[in-house]
Amino acid sequence: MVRYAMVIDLDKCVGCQACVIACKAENSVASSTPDEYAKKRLTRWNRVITVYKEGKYPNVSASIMPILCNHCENPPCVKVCPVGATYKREDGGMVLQRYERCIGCKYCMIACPYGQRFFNFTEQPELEYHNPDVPGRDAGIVEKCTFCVHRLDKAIAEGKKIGSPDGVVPACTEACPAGTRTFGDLDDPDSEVSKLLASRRNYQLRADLGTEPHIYYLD
Amino acid sequence: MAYKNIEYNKIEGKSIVYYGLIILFGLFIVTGVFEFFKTLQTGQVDLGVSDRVPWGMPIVMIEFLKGISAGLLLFSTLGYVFGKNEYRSISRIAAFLAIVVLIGAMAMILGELGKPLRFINVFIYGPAYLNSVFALNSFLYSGFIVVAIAYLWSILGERTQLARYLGTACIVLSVAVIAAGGSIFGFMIGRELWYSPFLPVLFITGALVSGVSMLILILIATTKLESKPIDEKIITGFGKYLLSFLLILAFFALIEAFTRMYGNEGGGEGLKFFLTGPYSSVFWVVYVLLGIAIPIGILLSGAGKKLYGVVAASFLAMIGILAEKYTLIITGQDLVQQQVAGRAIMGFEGMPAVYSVSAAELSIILGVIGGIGILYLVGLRMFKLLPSRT
Repeated sequence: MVRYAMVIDLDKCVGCQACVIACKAENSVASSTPDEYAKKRLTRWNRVITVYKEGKYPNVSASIMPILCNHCENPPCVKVCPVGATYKREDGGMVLQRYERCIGCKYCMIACPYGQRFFNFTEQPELEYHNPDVPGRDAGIVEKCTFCVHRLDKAIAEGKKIGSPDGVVPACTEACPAGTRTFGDLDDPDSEVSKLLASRRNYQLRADLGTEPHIYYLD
Repeated sequence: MAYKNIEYNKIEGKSIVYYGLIILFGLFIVTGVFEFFKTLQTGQVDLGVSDRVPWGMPIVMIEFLKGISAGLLLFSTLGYVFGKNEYRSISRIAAFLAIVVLIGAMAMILGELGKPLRFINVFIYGPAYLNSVFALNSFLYSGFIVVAIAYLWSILGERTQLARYLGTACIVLSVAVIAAGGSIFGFMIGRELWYSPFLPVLFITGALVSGVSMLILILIATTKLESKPIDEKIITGFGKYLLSFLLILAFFALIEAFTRMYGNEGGGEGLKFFLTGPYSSVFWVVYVLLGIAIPIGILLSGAGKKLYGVVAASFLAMIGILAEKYTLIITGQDLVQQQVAGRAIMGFEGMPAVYSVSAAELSIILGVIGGIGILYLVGLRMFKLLPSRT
């Protein structure tokens, strides 16, 4: 069984946010107004945070850390959904959202330990530059990162290879100028992600919670 | 036996106060319905919630109302299940109000959903997803209302034996509804201030406090409305229950805080945020001082044996339980979720959102309160709920 995962090398990340923009463009994720920014109503399937490491001002060490849905093996958001709108796809292991079934209870946002689910407060207008391969999302539902499932499904249909370094990968991985991200099949020992995880010390976000994230960090 | 001599009456409902209340609650409903349809059209843009604090005041009120409802139903069984016959006279009014309040809580859920017209999905798909406390709750609430209506029917007809069986079922369902309410929050591993097996217990204690407080206040208000005398012994008796539950609540709240203080992740930042953060004044002033300490003081003093003292303590305790739900639910969301255990998030992402209740949310809440009020007033006129002699 294929289980997609991503490895992010924090030593390479420069915090340029190209991944954030690429994600927004690829998935037609709405941009935010200053008012929404002030109210913390920001739809960012992919975002970059700064995490304190050690030291005191002015000698502080911190990690610039891209965050996205962890597509957990044991996803708390799936457990809490009362209508099965959020589900874990068997083929690929992605955590996805059935937009047409979501009732907008926001319980999945509460359950996600990573703050990677976003509520649509307003209607999302369809714009000419929106990606036609990605379904639109209307007001009142929750949306999230899909690991660019539309790209992966299209690649499978066209018989293309999936995964780094030369296969089809999510938009954030493709856009990274520093090659920070590596995408591939966790269950394939010859994939780039498996090799990286076998050769370098790595960790997952809040692994202590037992969610078994599919995003790994090298630091 | 004394309880067999109880007479129950419908109220006439022809006074100016009665009609005045109907008009007031009607206006509340209009406000709420207007906001509901506006939200349907424009989305939840006018609500105070954000991606950081997705659940706002309506959710706080839902949990508060659920607690009141379950508490009321538990107290309505005192006479028929626990054999406390001196409290039989209030069973009807308590059971009826419990049903009405839970219907109000369910209506509030609709007002809070992003897609309320899809609520039916819970009943279509929900049975396959009972691992979700929400799905489970939908069936628990429905069961609660059906069984409570059957129980009310049995006590309205003085079918004592049947009322005992149905009352027992009501007790089980009340505890389940409240425990499930606590589980909504207590099962969340990613929420430091919520994740606790103790939360359902805390919710049950809160339900008992708010249930008995509501019962005291509604009995006083209803008898005043009908200008009827009230048996002070019943009220002061309930005052003793209130005192006991408040003491238990204070003890549990203390244990919960100590537990978090002792083994807290990230050096106790979560508890610090809870006790000294932007919502801490509600916690300390409204919950601890007004909601627990002062009512306990009143009930322990001579005033606790007087009607006015018990009423004042009940009112404050109700406000206190609302504040408890508010601080727990809002603070629990606004506390920044650490992504790497023990390492703080810096800058904008590491700052709280600071939720404040919006006018739209207040309108929805008022609408539900209006609905509960009107249903209660109409019920008093339709059914023989009010004891005329105890």
